[in-house]
Amino acid sequence: MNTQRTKKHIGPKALAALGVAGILTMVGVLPAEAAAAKTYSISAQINCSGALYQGDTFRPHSSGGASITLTDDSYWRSGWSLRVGLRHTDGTQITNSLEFKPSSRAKHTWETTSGSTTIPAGDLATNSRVDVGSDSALCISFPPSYSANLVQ
Amino acid sequence: MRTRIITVTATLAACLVAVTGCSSKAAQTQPSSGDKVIDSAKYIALYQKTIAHFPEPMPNGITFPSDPPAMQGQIGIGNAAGMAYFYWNCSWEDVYLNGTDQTLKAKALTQMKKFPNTSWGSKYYDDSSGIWVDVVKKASLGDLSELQQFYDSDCSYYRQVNHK
Repeated sequence: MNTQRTKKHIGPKALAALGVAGILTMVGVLPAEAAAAKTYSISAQINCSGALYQGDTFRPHSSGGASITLTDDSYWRSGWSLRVGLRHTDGTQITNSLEFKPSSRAKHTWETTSGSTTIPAGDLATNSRVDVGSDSALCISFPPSYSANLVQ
Repeated sequence: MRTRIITVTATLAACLVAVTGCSSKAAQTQPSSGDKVIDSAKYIALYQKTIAHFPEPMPNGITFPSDPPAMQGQIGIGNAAGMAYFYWNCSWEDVYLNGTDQTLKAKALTQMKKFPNTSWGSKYYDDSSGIWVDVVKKASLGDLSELQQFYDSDCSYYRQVNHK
Protein backbone atom coordinates (compact mmCIF):
# COMPACT_ATOMS: atom_id res chain seq x y z
CA MET A 1 0.00 0.00 0.00
CA ASN A 2 2.71 2.42 0.98
CA THR A 3 4.78 1.42 -1.98
CA GLN A 4 1.94 2.21 -4.36
CA ARG A 5 1.54 5.65 -2.79
CA THR A 6 5.22 6.37 -3.16
CA LYS A 7 5.19 5.39 -6.77
CA LYS A 8 2.26 7.68 -7.41
CA HIS A 9 4.16 10.70 -6.10
CA ILE A 10 7.38 10.20 -8.02
CA GLY A 11 6.95 11.74 -11.43
CA PRO A 12 9.01 11.13 -14.56
CA LYS A 13 11.24 14.15 -13.94
CA ALA A 14 12.06 13.05 -10.40
CA LEU A 15 12.82 9.54 -11.61
CA ALA A 16 15.12 10.94 -14.29
CA ALA A 17 16.93 13.09 -11.70
CA LEU A 18 17.36 10.11 -9.40
CA GLY A 19 18.73 8.08 -12.30
CA VAL A 20 21.23 10.76 -13.27
CA ALA A 21 22.36 11.20 -9.66
CA GLY A 22 22.78 7.47 -9.31
CA ILE A 23 24.84 7.20 -12.49
CA LEU A 24 27.01 10.18 -11.50
CA THR A 25 27.65 8.65 -8.11
CA MET A 26 28.56 5.30 -9.69
CA VAL A 27 31.09 6.86 -12.04
CA GLY A 28 32.55 8.96 -9.24
CA VAL A 29 31.45 12.41 -10.41
CA LEU A 30 29.60 12.95 -7.16
CA PRO A 31 31.81 11.65 -4.38
CA ALA A 32 29.89 9.86 -1.67
CA GLU A 33 31.35 12.09 1.05
CA ALA A 34 30.01 15.25 -0.60
CA ALA A 35 26.60 14.51 0.82
CA ALA A 36 27.94 14.61 4.36
CA ALA A 37 30.04 17.79 4.04
CA LYS A 38 28.85 20.86 5.93
CA THR A 39 29.88 24.47 5.37
CA TYR A 40 30.75 26.72 8.30
CA SER A 41 31.57 30.42 8.19
CA ILE A 42 34.62 30.99 10.35
CA SER A 43 36.76 33.97 11.24
CA ALA A 44 39.83 34.63 13.35
CA GLN A 45 42.20 37.41 14.25
CA ILE A 46 45.74 36.20 14.43
CA ASN A 47 48.73 37.68 16.20
CA CYS A 48 51.55 39.44 14.44
CA SER A 49 54.35 37.39 15.92
CA GLY A 50 53.77 34.33 13.75
CA ALA A 51 52.85 32.32 16.86
CA LEU A 52 50.34 29.52 16.50
CA TYR A 53 46.78 30.52 17.30
CA GLN A 54 44.63 27.61 18.46
CA GLY A 55 40.96 28.34 17.83
CA ASP A 56 38.42 27.32 20.42
CA THR A 57 35.30 26.56 18.39
CA PHE A 58 34.91 22.86 17.71
CA ARG A 59 32.79 21.41 14.91
CA PRO A 60 31.84 17.77 14.43
CA HIS A 61 33.01 16.05 11.27
CA SER A 62 31.42 12.78 10.21
CA SER A 63 33.05 11.64 6.97
CA GLY A 64 34.89 12.63 3.81
CA GLY A 65 37.35 15.45 3.35
CA ALA A 66 37.72 19.05 4.46
CA SER A 67 38.56 22.25 2.64
CA ILE A 68 38.76 25.98 3.23
CA THR A 69 38.18 29.02 1.01
CA LEU A 70 39.12 32.50 2.19
CA THR A 71 36.29 35.01 1.93
CA ASP A 72 37.98 38.01 3.51
CA ASP A 73 41.59 38.88 4.16
CA SER A 74 41.28 42.47 3.02
CA TYR A 75 44.27 44.21 4.48
CA TRP A 76 46.96 41.66 4.02
CA ARG A 77 46.24 39.55 1.00
CA SER A 78 48.90 41.25 -1.08
CA GLY A 79 51.84 40.42 1.11
CA TRP A 80 51.34 37.92 3.87
CA SER A 81 50.85 34.16 4.00
CA LEU A 82 48.33 32.27 6.13
CA ARG A 83 48.77 28.70 7.30
CA VAL A 84 45.77 26.76 8.60
CA GLY A 85 45.42 23.23 9.95
CA LEU A 86 42.81 21.13 11.73
CA ARG A 87 43.30 19.57 15.13
CA HIS A 88 41.48 17.16 17.39
CA THR A 89 40.39 17.79 20.95
CA ASP A 90 43.65 16.68 22.53
CA GLY A 91 45.53 19.46 20.74
CA THR A 92 47.11 17.23 18.11
CA GLN A 93 46.99 18.67 14.60
CA ILE A 94 45.75 15.88 12.36
CA THR A 95 46.19 17.54 8.98
CA ASN A 96 49.06 19.12 7.15
CA SER A 97 48.93 22.91 7.25
CA LEU A 98 47.53 24.56 4.16
CA GLU A 99 49.39 27.66 3.06
CA PHE A 100 47.57 30.58 1.46
CA LYS A 101 50.30 32.52 -0.27
CA PRO A 102 49.55 35.94 -1.76
CA SER A 103 49.37 34.31 -5.17
CA SER A 104 47.22 31.41 -4.04
CA ARG A 105 43.93 32.33 -2.39
CA ALA A 106 41.77 29.66 -4.04
CA LYS A 107 40.12 26.77 -2.22
CA HIS A 108 42.60 24.54 -0.43
CA THR A 109 41.89 20.93 0.55
CA TRP A 110 43.45 19.29 3.56
CA GLU A 111 45.30 16.03 3.74
CA THR A 112 45.97 14.15 6.93
CA THR A 113 49.54 13.89 8.10
CA SER A 114 49.63 10.48 6.42
CA GLY A 115 48.55 11.96 3.08
CA SER A 116 44.89 10.95 2.97
CA THR A 117 42.19 13.42 1.89
CA THR A 118 39.72 11.59 4.12
CA ILE A 119 39.59 13.16 7.56
CA PRO A 120 38.64 10.76 10.37
CA ALA A 121 35.33 11.46 12.10
CA GLY A 122 35.58 13.54 15.25
CA ASP A 123 35.46 17.07 16.56
CA LEU A 124 37.77 19.56 14.88
CA ALA A 125 39.08 23.05 15.53
CA THR A 126 41.47 25.21 13.54
CA ASN A 127 45.10 26.06 14.09
CA SER A 128 46.34 29.12 12.24
CA ARG A 129 49.26 31.45 11.97
CA VAL A 130 50.32 34.20 9.62
CA ASP A 131 53.73 35.07 8.28
CA VAL A 132 53.99 38.85 8.03
CA GLY A 133 57.60 38.78 6.92
CA SER A 134 59.27 42.10 7.59
CA ASP A 135 55.94 43.92 7.95
CA SER A 136 55.57 43.39 11.70
CA ALA A 137 55.30 47.14 12.38
CA LEU A 138 52.49 47.48 9.88
CA CYS A 139 50.80 44.54 11.55
CA ILE A 140 50.05 46.68 14.61
CA SER A 141 47.73 48.87 12.62
CA PHE A 142 46.38 46.14 10.42
CA PRO A 143 46.12 42.97 12.53
CA PRO A 144 45.76 39.96 10.30
CA SER A 145 42.20 38.75 10.53
CA TYR A 146 40.49 36.45 8.08
CA SER A 147 37.12 34.99 7.28
CA ALA A 148 36.61 31.77 5.41
CA ASN A 149 34.18 29.06 4.44
CA LEU A 150 35.19 25.83 6.08
CA VAL A 151 33.76 22.68 4.52
CA GLN A 152 34.10 19.49 6.55
CA MET B 1 41.20 51.83 -6.74
CA ARG B 2 40.26 50.24 -3.40
CA THR B 3 43.54 48.38 -3.27
CA ARG B 4 45.39 51.62 -3.91
CA ILE B 5 43.55 53.38 -1.08
CA ILE B 6 44.36 50.51 1.26
CA THR B 7 47.99 50.56 0.22
CA VAL B 8 48.26 54.31 0.78
CA THR B 9 46.48 54.06 4.14
CA ALA B 10 48.66 51.16 5.19
CA THR B 11 51.78 53.07 4.22
CA LEU B 12 50.67 56.11 6.20
CA ALA B 13 49.93 53.91 9.18
CA ALA B 14 53.36 52.33 8.89
CA CYS B 15 54.94 55.80 8.85
CA LEU B 16 52.94 56.77 11.93
CA VAL B 17 54.08 53.65 13.69
CA ALA B 18 57.67 54.46 12.80
CA VAL B 19 57.33 58.03 14.06
CA THR B 20 55.76 57.00 17.35
CA GLY B 21 58.57 54.57 17.94
CA CYS B 22 56.68 51.29 18.03
CA SER B 23 59.15 48.51 17.52
CA SER B 24 58.76 45.09 15.96
CA LYS B 25 59.10 43.64 19.48
CA ALA B 26 55.92 45.49 20.42
CA ALA B 27 54.22 43.77 17.52
CA GLN B 28 55.34 40.40 18.76
CA THR B 29 53.75 40.90 22.15
CA GLN B 30 50.47 42.21 20.84
CA PRO B 31 47.63 39.92 21.89
CA SER B 32 45.75 38.53 18.95
CA SER B 33 42.24 39.23 20.17
CA GLY B 34 42.22 40.72 23.65
CA ASP B 35 41.23 38.49 26.52
CA LYS B 36 39.96 35.79 24.19
CA VAL B 37 43.53 34.53 23.88
CA ILE B 38 45.43 33.05 26.78
CA ASP B 39 48.82 31.50 27.38
CA SER B 40 49.57 28.01 28.64
CA ALA B 41 49.60 28.94 32.33
CA LYS B 42 46.24 30.69 32.14
CA TYR B 43 44.85 27.77 30.13
CA ILE B 44 45.76 25.34 32.91
CA ALA B 45 44.41 27.67 35.61
CA LEU B 46 41.07 28.10 33.84
CA TYR B 47 40.78 24.35 33.28
CA GLN B 48 41.39 23.71 36.98
CA LYS B 49 38.81 26.33 37.91
CA THR B 50 36.30 24.60 35.61
CA ILE B 51 36.79 21.12 37.04
CA ALA B 52 36.60 22.45 40.60
CA HIS B 53 32.98 23.46 40.00
CA PHE B 54 32.01 21.19 37.14
CA PRO B 55 28.22 21.25 36.84
CA GLU B 56 27.59 17.92 35.11
CA PRO B 57 27.63 14.42 36.64
CA MET B 58 30.54 12.09 36.02
CA PRO B 59 30.33 8.28 35.85
CA ASN B 60 31.23 6.54 39.11
CA GLY B 61 34.97 6.08 39.49
CA ILE B 62 35.93 8.70 36.90
CA THR B 63 37.60 11.91 38.05
CA PHE B 64 39.21 14.75 36.18
CA PRO B 65 42.98 14.77 35.80
CA SER B 66 44.59 17.76 37.50
CA ASP B 67 45.99 19.05 34.22
CA PRO B 68 44.48 19.31 30.73
CA PRO B 69 46.29 18.10 27.61
CA ALA B 70 49.29 20.32 26.95
CA MET B 71 48.77 23.32 24.69
CA GLN B 72 51.25 25.99 23.66
CA GLY B 73 51.20 29.26 21.77
CA GLN B 74 48.23 31.59 21.61
CA ILE B 75 45.32 29.57 22.97
CA GLY B 76 41.69 30.44 22.37
CA ILE B 77 40.17 30.87 25.82
CA GLY B 78 37.37 28.37 25.18
CA ASN B 79 39.89 25.54 25.00
CA ALA B 80 40.40 25.61 28.78
CA ALA B 81 36.88 24.66 29.82
CA GLY B 82 36.52 22.75 26.56
CA MET B 83 39.08 20.18 27.66
CA ALA B 84 36.98 19.46 30.75
CA TYR B 85 33.77 19.17 28.76
CA PHE B 86 35.35 16.85 26.18
CA TYR B 87 36.77 14.71 28.98
CA TRP B 88 33.31 14.55 30.56
CA ASN B 89 31.67 13.63 27.26
CA CYS B 90 34.32 10.99 26.60
CA SER B 91 33.62 9.41 29.98
CA TRP B 92 29.99 8.89 29.01
CA GLU B 93 30.89 7.74 25.50
CA ASP B 94 33.02 5.11 27.21
CA VAL B 95 30.10 4.01 29.39
CA TYR B 96 27.83 3.74 26.39
CA LEU B 97 30.30 1.94 24.15
CA ASN B 98 31.87 -0.38 26.67
CA GLY B 99 29.44 -0.67 29.58
CA THR B 100 26.87 -3.38 30.19
CA ASP B 101 24.61 -1.76 32.78
CA GLN B 102 21.50 -0.65 30.87
CA THR B 103 20.55 1.98 33.45
CA LEU B 104 23.98 3.56 33.21
CA LYS B 105 23.88 3.40 29.43
CA ALA B 106 20.56 5.23 29.44
CA LYS B 107 22.14 7.89 31.64
CA ALA B 108 25.11 8.07 29.27
CA LEU B 109 22.76 8.70 26.37
CA THR B 110 21.17 11.58 28.25
CA GLN B 111 24.56 13.14 29.00
CA MET B 112 25.82 12.80 25.42
CA LYS B 113 22.65 14.41 24.07
CA LYS B 114 23.24 17.28 26.46
CA PHE B 115 26.81 17.95 25.30
CA PRO B 116 26.14 20.64 22.61
CA ASN B 117 23.75 22.45 24.96
CA THR B 118 25.98 22.64 28.01
CA SER B 119 27.18 26.06 29.11
CA TRP B 120 30.44 25.44 27.23
CA GLY B 121 28.90 23.70 24.22
CA SER B 122 26.36 26.40 23.53
CA LYS B 123 29.20 28.86 23.11
CA TYR B 124 32.05 26.86 21.62
CA TYR B 125 30.57 23.76 19.99
CA ASP B 126 28.97 24.35 16.61
CA ASP B 127 26.62 21.49 15.88
CA SER B 128 24.46 23.56 13.56
CA SER B 129 24.87 20.71 11.08
CA GLY B 130 23.28 18.31 13.56
CA ILE B 131 26.11 15.82 13.10
CA TRP B 132 26.61 15.13 16.81
CA VAL B 133 22.88 14.87 17.40
CA ASP B 134 22.76 12.33 14.59
CA VAL B 135 25.70 10.34 15.99
CA VAL B 136 23.93 10.00 19.33
CA LYS B 137 20.62 9.16 17.69
CA LYS B 138 22.21 6.39 15.62
CA ALA B 139 23.88 5.05 18.75
CA SER B 140 20.55 4.95 20.56
CA LEU B 141 19.19 2.85 17.70
CA GLY B 142 22.06 0.40 17.95
CA ASP B 143 24.48 1.76 15.34
CA LEU B 144 27.62 2.46 17.36
CA SER B 145 30.01 2.86 14.42
CA GLU B 146 30.13 6.66 14.30
CA LEU B 147 30.13 7.06 18.07
CA GLN B 148 33.08 4.67 18.16
CA GLN B 149 34.89 6.82 15.56
CA PHE B 150 34.33 9.97 17.62
CA TYR B 151 35.53 8.16 20.72
CA ASP B 152 38.65 7.02 18.88
CA SER B 153 39.40 10.53 17.59
CA ASP B 154 38.33 12.73 20.48
CA CYS B 155 39.16 10.74 23.55
CA SER B 156 42.85 9.88 23.35
CA TYR B 157 43.59 11.99 26.43
CA TYR B 158 40.74 10.37 28.37
CA ARG B 159 41.98 6.90 27.40
CA GLN B 160 45.54 7.81 28.30
CA VAL B 161 44.56 9.10 31.74
CA ASN B 162 42.37 6.09 32.46
CA HIS B 163 44.72 3.50 30.88
CA LYS B 164 42.10 2.34 28.37
